[in-house]
Amino acid sequence: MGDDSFLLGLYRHLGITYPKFFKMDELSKLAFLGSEMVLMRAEMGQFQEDEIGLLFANQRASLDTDIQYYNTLKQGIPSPALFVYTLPNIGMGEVCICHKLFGENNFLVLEQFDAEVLLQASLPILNQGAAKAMLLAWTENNIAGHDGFFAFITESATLETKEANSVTLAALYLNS
Amino acid sequence: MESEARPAVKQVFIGAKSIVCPLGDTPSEVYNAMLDGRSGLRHFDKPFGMDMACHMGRVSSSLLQEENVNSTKLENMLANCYSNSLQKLAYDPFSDDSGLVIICTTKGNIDLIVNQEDERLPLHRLSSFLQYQFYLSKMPLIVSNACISGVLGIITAARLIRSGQVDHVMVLGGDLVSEFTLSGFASLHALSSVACKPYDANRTGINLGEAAAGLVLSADPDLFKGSSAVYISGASSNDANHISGPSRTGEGLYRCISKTLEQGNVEASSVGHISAHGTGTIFNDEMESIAFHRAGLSDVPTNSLKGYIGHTLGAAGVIETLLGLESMKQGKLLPSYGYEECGVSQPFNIVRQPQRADGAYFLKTASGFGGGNASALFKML
Repeated sequence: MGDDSFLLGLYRHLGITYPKFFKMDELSKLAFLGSEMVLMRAEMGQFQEDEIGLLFANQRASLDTDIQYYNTLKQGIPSPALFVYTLPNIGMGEVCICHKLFGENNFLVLEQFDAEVLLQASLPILNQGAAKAMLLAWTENNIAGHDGFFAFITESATLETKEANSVTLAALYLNS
Repeated sequence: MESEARPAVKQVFIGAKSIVCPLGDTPSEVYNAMLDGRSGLRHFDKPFGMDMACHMGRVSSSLLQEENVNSTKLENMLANCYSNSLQKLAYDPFSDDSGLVIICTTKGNIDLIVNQEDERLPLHRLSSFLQYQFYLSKMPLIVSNACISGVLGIITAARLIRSGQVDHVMVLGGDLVSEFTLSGFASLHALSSVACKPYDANRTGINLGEAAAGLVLSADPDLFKGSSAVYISGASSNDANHISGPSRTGEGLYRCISKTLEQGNVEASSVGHISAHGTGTIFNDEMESIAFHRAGLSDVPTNSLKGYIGHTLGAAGVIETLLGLESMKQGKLLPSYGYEECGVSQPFNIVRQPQRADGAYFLKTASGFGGGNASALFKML
């Protein structure tokens, strides 16, 4: 598991006041903070509350939190506070709650981080009118630390050239 | 809302159903068992040695074909469905890049968590298992978005086909009943110790069920030996309210239903049948009644299938869509098992005995932890 002081340090550095942060598991904290950093720079005001879609992904889903929950079960005191975080999409839910985002959600589990695959998965949502902007995130915790990639994309893009006609990309790579 | 002409939308055909669940392992066997009024759930005194009686449904491992010496129970269930669905197709579209498999699951091989080092435990392993086992050209995508995973997988499949990225997608859903999930839901006081009663005044919570199911979506009607339905539209929406409790106003579910109907250019009055989420908890079922009422769908014959096979988590959206389509095709909708007396504030038209649908459109809805909601609309041909 990664070093939790990194996430706490980032929270303080960003000057956020959001008490719900302290209930989140590490995966959700990473998802939340990375999203904050990208959304701060995105011009969210130009979109309706349901026009921003979220597509998050990782490789091991919520496995670290699963193990933590399982340990409480084996100790005879299964923790509901932990159990609610044993799903990889909860972090996405936390972002939606904080920013009142009612749009499309999806969580994918992939073999490895691939920004191309994330983009390919998000383009149909944009191009078919299900969203006008997408918040993409890759969030992984592992023994080495935290791994996060966050991007906010707008407008539609063509698949042939694999480049957008007009894309505003605020990409952020977080690593601890 | 746009007023210019909508561009022609690519038709997406659906068929090749497969199923492994507490009531049987073929779609017609399961459908007929449900028509007969049978449930695949039963009482367990000490499930997994835990001191808590519950009602649940299991799949017998002895009935499953073992794919390889290392394959897990869930992998065998998913593989069985893959093979059975594939057999129903006129040709194999997954051995080249025109076909993709999507796996919908919430916990994967969670029964293996006893040994945290087990290499089959990380969720991404399911993709590589399936790809290797069946020589799939493309690495399967895994959708893991709590209880809406199945419906979301179907929506994702249709969007990928319409974008031209692939022509054919097999959507496989699957989840196990485990000590992990059972204890977890119990810790949230969401588990009922008796048979679940979706929408009923005396409902006390969920029953878990394990299952896997498969459905194929394709731009090519000739892939199927007779497809009887098309996917029309779908959408997902977050409640933006609470991570484990549904919105009191049914906000997310109402929004995704509205978008689904609007995109499909279909009025609420044209929907012939709804297969709803109906888990049997006080909050979920109440929320659905409010959302359906807001969407003008309270007259549509609606059921929950969770009384027959339990809440099958990642499989739910696939298995319940499949059975809903089957019931539309057979002209006999399935009664909402466990329902006797209305227990929601906005009563709606709950199916009590087999009856015809009110029209050709079928709507599937789902809601899940993380505030997710999803809905998909189909039309019978």
